[in-house]
Amino acid sequence: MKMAAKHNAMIIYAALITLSVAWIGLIFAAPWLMAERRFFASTIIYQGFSAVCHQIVERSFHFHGFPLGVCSRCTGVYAGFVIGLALYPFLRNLREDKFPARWILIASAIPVVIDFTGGFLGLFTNTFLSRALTGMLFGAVVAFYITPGLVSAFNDLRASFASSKRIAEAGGGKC
Amino acid sequence: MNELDWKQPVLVGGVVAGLLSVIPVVNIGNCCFCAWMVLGGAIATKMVVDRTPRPVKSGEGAKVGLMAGLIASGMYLVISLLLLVAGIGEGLQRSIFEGIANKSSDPQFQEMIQKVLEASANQTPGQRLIGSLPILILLAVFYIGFSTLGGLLGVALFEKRKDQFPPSQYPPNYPPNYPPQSGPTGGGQGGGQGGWPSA
Repeated sequence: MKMAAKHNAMIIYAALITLSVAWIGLIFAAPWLMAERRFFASTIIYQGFSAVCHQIVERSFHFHGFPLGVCSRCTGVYAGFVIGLALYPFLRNLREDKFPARWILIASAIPVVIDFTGGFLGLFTNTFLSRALTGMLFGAVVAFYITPGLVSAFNDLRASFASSKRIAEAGGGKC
Repeated sequence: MNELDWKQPVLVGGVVAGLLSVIPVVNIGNCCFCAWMVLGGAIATKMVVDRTPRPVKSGEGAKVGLMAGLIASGMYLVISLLLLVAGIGEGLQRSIFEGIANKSSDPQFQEMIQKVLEASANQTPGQRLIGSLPILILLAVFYIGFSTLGGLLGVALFEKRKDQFPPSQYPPNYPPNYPPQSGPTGGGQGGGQGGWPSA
C-alpha cells in the first residue's frame, strides 16, 4: 500500500516537473525560434500563449532580441512553480496528499495582487523586478498545493480502478 | 465521487467560465492565467463543498474543475467557431497577428504576417474554420487544465473541515472474494458484515 502510494506520487511529481519545464521551454522557444527565422513555429507558440497572457512587449523579458512568450509576471509565476516543484521533495513528503494551511496560499497572493492592482490603478509604477518576483513567490507556493492535490486525485483514480478490478474478479467466480 | 452532488455545480462553474471567456472585452480576463477558467473551477468546487456533508477531497475538487473546464471549453469552442464562420472577431484576430508582427523588426517576417492577414481576409468561412480549429483546440486544452487547477485550489481555499474523510471503499488487505455469496439455505444476512456501508 505504501509502495503503491509512493509510486503514484513519483509518477505525478515526474509528470509535473516534465510539463512545467516543457512549458518554460516553450516560453523561451518562441523568441529563440523567431531569432532563428522559424517564423511559423514561433507564431504558433506566441499565438498559443496569447490565450493566457497579454504579451505586452514592453512588459516582457527579452531573449535573443525578442520578447518571451509571456510577460514578466507570468514568467515569474511559471519559473516560481518550477522552483517550488524542485524544493517540494525537500520540504514535504511526496506521498502527502493533504494541502498546507490555507493562509499560506492567500498570503502568497497578496504581493502579486498589490503589485497588479497598484500598477493598474496608477497608484505606483511596478517594475520588471516587482512583477517577476511577486509572480515567482506565488508560483512557488502554488506548487505546494497543486502537487498534493494531483497526488490525491491520482491515488483515488488508481484505487477506484483497483477496486473495480477486484469486484470484477470476485464476480467472475460466480457460477 | 458518486455521492457528491456535482452535476449542478459543474454546470454552473462551466457556464460562468464559458460565458466570461467568449464575451468580447470581458474575455481579456483570461489573459491573466486564464482567470475565468480558474474561477469557473473554483466556483464549481465551492458549490460542491457547500452541498457535501463530509469534507471534499482534493482529487474530487480536481475532477469537478476538470468537468467544469470541459463544459467551459466546449462553449468556448462552439461559440468561437460560430463567430469565426460569421466573420465576427476578425478585428481581434488581426490585432493578435499584428501584435505578433510587432514583436519582430524583421521586414521579411512582417511581410509574411501581412500576407497571412490579406489571405485570411479573402477566406471563405469554411477555410477560416479549418485554419483556426487547431489553435482553438489547443486553447481549449489550456482552459481545461487551468479549470482543473481552479478546482484543486478551490478545495484548498474553501474546504475547512478536516479529519472527517470517508473510509476507503475497501480496507487494506480486503479479501478479493468478500462479501461471501448467499448460500442455498438462504443466508440472507450474509457473513455478518454484509456489504461495505456507502457514505
